[in-house]
Amino acid sequence: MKKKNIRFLIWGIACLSLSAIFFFAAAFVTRNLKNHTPFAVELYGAQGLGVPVGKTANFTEWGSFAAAGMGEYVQAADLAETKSIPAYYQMTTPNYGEYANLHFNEGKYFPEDAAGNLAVIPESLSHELFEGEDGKKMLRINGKKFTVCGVYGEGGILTRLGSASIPVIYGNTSRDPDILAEQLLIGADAGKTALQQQQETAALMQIPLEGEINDLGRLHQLGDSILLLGFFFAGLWFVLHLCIFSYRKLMSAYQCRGQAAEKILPAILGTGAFLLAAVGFASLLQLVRIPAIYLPEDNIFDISYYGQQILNGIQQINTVSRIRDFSRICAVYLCAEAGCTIAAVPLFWAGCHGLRHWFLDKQL
Amino acid sequence: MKNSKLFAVRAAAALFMALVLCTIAAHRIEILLLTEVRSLAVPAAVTMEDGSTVTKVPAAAVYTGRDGKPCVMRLLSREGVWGREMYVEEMPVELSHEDYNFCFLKGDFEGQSLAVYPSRPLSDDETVRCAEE
Repeated sequence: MKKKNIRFLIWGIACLSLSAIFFFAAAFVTRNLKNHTPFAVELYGAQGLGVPVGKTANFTEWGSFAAAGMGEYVQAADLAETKSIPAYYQMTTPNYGEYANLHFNEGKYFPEDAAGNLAVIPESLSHELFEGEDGKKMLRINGKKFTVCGVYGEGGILTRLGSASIPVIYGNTSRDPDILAEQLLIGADAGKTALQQQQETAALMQIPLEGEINDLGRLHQLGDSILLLGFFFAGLWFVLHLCIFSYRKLMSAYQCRGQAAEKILPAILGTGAFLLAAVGFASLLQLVRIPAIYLPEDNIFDISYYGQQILNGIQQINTVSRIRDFSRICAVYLCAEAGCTIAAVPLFWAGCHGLRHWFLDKQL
Repeated sequence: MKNSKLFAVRAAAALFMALVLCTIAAHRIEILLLTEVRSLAVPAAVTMEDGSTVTKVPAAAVYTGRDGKPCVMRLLSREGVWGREMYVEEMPVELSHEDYNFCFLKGDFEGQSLAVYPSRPLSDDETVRCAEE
């Protein structure tokens, strides 16, 4: 009996510990999602957005957005051209690094008054081209000399899973300011929809901006919502058991054959427990904060809608048409987070169940 | 007979508990499904050179009404089943002029609260929730 009792205790603690690990992992993934993807609305046009990237630079100050030009596949080599690596090159506005949430290991993003050919390269490319070299770094992109002004970190394993394996080099617009913008990152505003922000930016630049809209800011919110939803489902265990306790007490009060005074205590206990369960449930429901745009318009139980959303996410992960697709990176992070949360909730329930058994057996 | 009475009482108690919890959940779901808006306090009106009074509001605050004419959505509160709730009321307006970001409305709307940037198209008398809340 005692052995069985200890087994329940060990089982309960082990499950709760594992659940805590999964919850921490989900929180860690959410934090990394925010650190490695922009809090922005992304406008993307594979054939360009109809505005030269050089022209957008004139508006970035007022419009809270950054732009990147049409990318091209290039050969990046060291100055002596002893090592050559295929890479993807994109010209950007000077504030792009800040909007894209790039974290620098060396140097920084090129300044607004940057002259000459400047490049910001990823850590992996820096290792391959300049391993063991100190001082000013210079490289050749399709034979042209560039000065490296910053080396950015490429993020953790999830960012790499969501990105293509080719290194991405960002350059300033001085080389060809007339190249069309391929991507705009508009600073996300919680109170506006992505479409409204797109229209405002189009109105500011006085050109129609048509392309794919990805609301990465809302995906950050969704990351928080998934974690909170996990806490909600975990907390339901207490509500359920309070309800069961209340039900048993109320039934025992009903079935009690003694005097009225004997019925009062279980009836009060039952009613009190149920009120506590109702208040606890109402409080727990405050943790359900899914952004309105991810919910169906009329029927919250519209299963086909959620199925379509999940399918879209899976398709986003499997898309291979773009090199650095932030929405694909977000989708990988969100899937990992959802997986951790889904694993954490049943473990939490199992842990609480084990501890409850241990506690009840101890009482006996 | 006694058993069936006991069964009925048990079932009724369980059903009552489930219904209370479902009602609480339904209330939360209803709030989640409301259209999100952001509130905008209308600034003081300005007097134009011709003596007319106009109010400057963001272009996002002006909608097209059911009659196809411009309108704004006033954000008001009322007593609902679950306490105070916010709702919008369509108010026809006349445009003086407009530019890319702002509209100038004829008349003085100072101090009024308008609904801007709704998550879905708004309709008159619709219950909404503010995004800041």
